Amino acid sequence: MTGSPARPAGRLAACVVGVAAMTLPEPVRERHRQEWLADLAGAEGVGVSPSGVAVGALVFSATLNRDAPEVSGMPIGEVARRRARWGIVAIAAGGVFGVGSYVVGGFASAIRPTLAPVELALSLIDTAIHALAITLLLIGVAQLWRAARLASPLATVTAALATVGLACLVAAAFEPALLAPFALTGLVAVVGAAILGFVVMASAPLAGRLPPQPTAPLPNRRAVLCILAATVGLLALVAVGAVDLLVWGPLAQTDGLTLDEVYAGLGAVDRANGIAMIVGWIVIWTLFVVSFAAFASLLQWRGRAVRSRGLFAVALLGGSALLFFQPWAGFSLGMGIADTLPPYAGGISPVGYLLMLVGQASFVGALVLGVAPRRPPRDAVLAASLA
Amino acid sequence: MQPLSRVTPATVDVLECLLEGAGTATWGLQVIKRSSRPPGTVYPLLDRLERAGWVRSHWEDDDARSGPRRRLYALTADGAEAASRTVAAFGARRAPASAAAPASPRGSGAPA
Repeated sequence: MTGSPARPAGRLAACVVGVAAMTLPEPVRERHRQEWLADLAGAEGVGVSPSGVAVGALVFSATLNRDAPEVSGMPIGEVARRRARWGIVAIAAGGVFGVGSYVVGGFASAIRPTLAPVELALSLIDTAIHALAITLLLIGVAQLWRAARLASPLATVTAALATVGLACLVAAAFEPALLAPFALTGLVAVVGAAILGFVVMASAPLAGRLPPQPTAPLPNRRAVLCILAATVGLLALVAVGAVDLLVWGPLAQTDGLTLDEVYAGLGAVDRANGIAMIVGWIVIWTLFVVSFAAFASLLQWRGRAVRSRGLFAVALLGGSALLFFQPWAGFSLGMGIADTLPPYAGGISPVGYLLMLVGQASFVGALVLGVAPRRPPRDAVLAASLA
Repeated sequence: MQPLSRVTPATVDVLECLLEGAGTATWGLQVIKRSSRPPGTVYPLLDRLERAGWVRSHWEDDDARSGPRRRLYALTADGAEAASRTVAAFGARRAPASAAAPASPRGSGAPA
């Protein structure tokens, strides 16, 4: 009898078993992988179907109680806290994408006609963003309930408040006639859930946590590369945002005019004010990026080693902030165009739309790096699982 | 040892297979074979029984056989007593029903 099934069906079953094992938490992964592979190797010998073993492995993985300490390798309290933090991140991410889409009013009302394939791609992205927002909200609420189930009755009240609040906010977005009462109820419930959730987490006993795991500082070479990558990325956003404000944005706001005609048609004051606001945005955010690079380099140079997670969290937060203010920087020029170059076509350019999505994604990335729990070190998990 | 929150016919079948071992450890795949229950039922059951302290498991110690090691399962001392009681109680509940209808092979508790 050999350890690896030779026939194609056996090999497929072994692959399925491998996949099922990969989905298991680390403390129990290797044990079940080896057990299932041994069962596969001997299945035909005892008259059991190898495919049955493979399906059994999948069913086991799907029905396993992953919150149990011997499975997760972590105390129940730690599991609850981690689920709650992931829930907060997912809900916040869903909110960012959802509110972003709601404020813009959807792709169709925001973008001027452009190349048909580009327009199609952007409209598909727009639909996907809406679906993603709802999915993230549902995942986040589910995580909060799973955390609450492990924690306390007060945590259950928190999850219930958050669920009611989010449901009201989503209903407000879909039912304009009831916007005010739904939005108000939703906001009160969500803020209440946030306060209560903070109280629950703060009052939880310290027992049931993994010991704090200090992160390893970056070596100088990698720190320099990380700082350089973040700086170049942020400067690229400033550059693309500036071109969008000065070129693509004005073209999207006018119907059929060339760029020279747009700027020539503006009054001197409107033109000067509009360009001044844009230049101000470029200067402020270039200074921010330079300061970010200088401060991070200084930290590294003085021995307070930069951590990649913190570095990229700040960079992503900065990126989301500079892109949040980017449309506002074009407000004055847009108003000038609207006043003096009728008919005002309105809208933002496809690049402006993409920048908005990049800004939202950056904020979500910063949330993941800053709020979501870090993957616990393997040693700590294994030690906890053996305790 | 913790009581089982839910005892199903499949639970009883698995316990019967382990009781037949009379203290000796049984390969998990043999439990699947003898209980005639699918692996998707038996794997989670064995895991639940082990976590509740009814069953303990260990790797087969067989140097002559190459490849991945087999996982062997045996009832703990307390688990064996509880399993006997559970199987008996389940059989008693099933008896009136089997008097009214022809008994299935599972109903007799005999392994396949």
